Amino acid sequence: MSGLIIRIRLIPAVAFMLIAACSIRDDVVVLKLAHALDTGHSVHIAMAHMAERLAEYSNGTMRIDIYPSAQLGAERETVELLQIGSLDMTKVSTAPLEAFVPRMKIFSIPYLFNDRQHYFRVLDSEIGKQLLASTEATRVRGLGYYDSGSRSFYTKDRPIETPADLEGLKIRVVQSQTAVQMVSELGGSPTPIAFGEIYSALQQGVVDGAENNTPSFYLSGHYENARYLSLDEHTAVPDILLIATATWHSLTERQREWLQAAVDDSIALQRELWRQSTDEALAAVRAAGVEVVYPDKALFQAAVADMKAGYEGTEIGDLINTIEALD
Amino acid sequence: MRSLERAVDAALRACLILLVVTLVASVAWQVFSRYLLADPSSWTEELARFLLIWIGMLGAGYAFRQHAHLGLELLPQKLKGIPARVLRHFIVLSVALFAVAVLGIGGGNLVALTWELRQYSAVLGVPIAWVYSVIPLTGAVIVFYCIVLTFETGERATYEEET
Repeated sequence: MSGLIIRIRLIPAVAFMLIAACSIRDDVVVLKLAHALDTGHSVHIAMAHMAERLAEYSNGTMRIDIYPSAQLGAERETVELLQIGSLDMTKVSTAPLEAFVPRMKIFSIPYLFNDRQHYFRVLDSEIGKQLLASTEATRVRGLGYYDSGSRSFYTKDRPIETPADLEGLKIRVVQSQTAVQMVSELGGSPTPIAFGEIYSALQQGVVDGAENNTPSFYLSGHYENARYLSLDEHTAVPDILLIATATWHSLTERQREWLQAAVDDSIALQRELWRQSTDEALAAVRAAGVEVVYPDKALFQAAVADMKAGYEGTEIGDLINTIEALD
Repeated sequence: MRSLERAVDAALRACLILLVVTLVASVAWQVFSRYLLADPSSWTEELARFLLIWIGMLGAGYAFRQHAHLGLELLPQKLKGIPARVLRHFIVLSVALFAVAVLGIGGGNLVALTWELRQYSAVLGVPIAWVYSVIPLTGAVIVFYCIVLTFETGERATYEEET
């Protein structure tokens, strides 16, 4: 009997210790961040850097836990997790974000930017910031843009020197109306297939080519089947770092500043890493025997002029005009 | 109750047949357009994916009624009489709880969220909420069959007679 009483008396003590343990942990704000890239990717390295910087800025009171390699889902699903409130942060390409925020179609418009300087100037300008903020209505908030380079065609049997070379070629595109439209305007046959199936699709001749940025062309091993890389650089689709609006509002003013500073550091590092990985990828595919051609972009620009003009008078059309005025 | 059950069975069966036929047609059209027209259709992949989700979910509801789901039947085969009946009711109740909590409430929330935040599919441009609406729908189908099974266990002796 006395044993039981002792045990009962122990309960508040144990409970107190448990509560104390919890409250110590609660002092640290933990942000869960998931993305679909490999841990060797420049974006992941930059995110790890962001986590370090945030711990420094906040004196260890804030922490970012990173879940890489799509272990919490593909990009579209992680955005849903943010909306539901199960996840704090994610990284998505602006292409899947179109499903949530139609305005993000702007980045899928071919030849929107004249060159890399123009591209970065737009991303870092007021218009770039407005686009980040425009996602708030869907319960996510953009914190900044990671670089994802420019996308170009790579093909099996012949290089693409002019849009006429695309005639009759089946080109794999991402699942987006804009991408489908662009390839058909250029004269190719757009074939939407999943990213993971491209390698065998090229091998078996289901498609004659695909389009992506140079590091992806190299890292995916697609260069083993596609021997021609034609750097026409038709689109520049950036990656966006998102935070759930609910999480953002739960942070104090000071914590938001720390986080934004860490994000900015991370973006600066990633853009440098991306430049390096593009150079490395280009050298590597050349060494593997891929023929790299630099077509005249003006021909491609002329071929998609109608597509751009088609947006005249819409919200996207206004954005195009604003962006072109920035050059 | 019997006639209502038969009506639901027939409707579900017709629905599933229609979905499978559309799925096959859509994939066949992709093959045709890719190899014979050399102009691959861009919407078939997405349509096929959404149809497969619908077939999988609604099919799970139908299979539940037909006792076609995988099950470890060691215990139901050993028990007789009242313990067997208790076990049957317990199984049906567990399934009903899952159907209400996960499919009905959880799925319903997902539909509401994607509808409210206007998420659209990439190629067809249909609201994602339509695709997800099959989750609460399946929940309703399973709950309906749970009610049917609860009354049925009174009338008929055992599951084994049917399977």
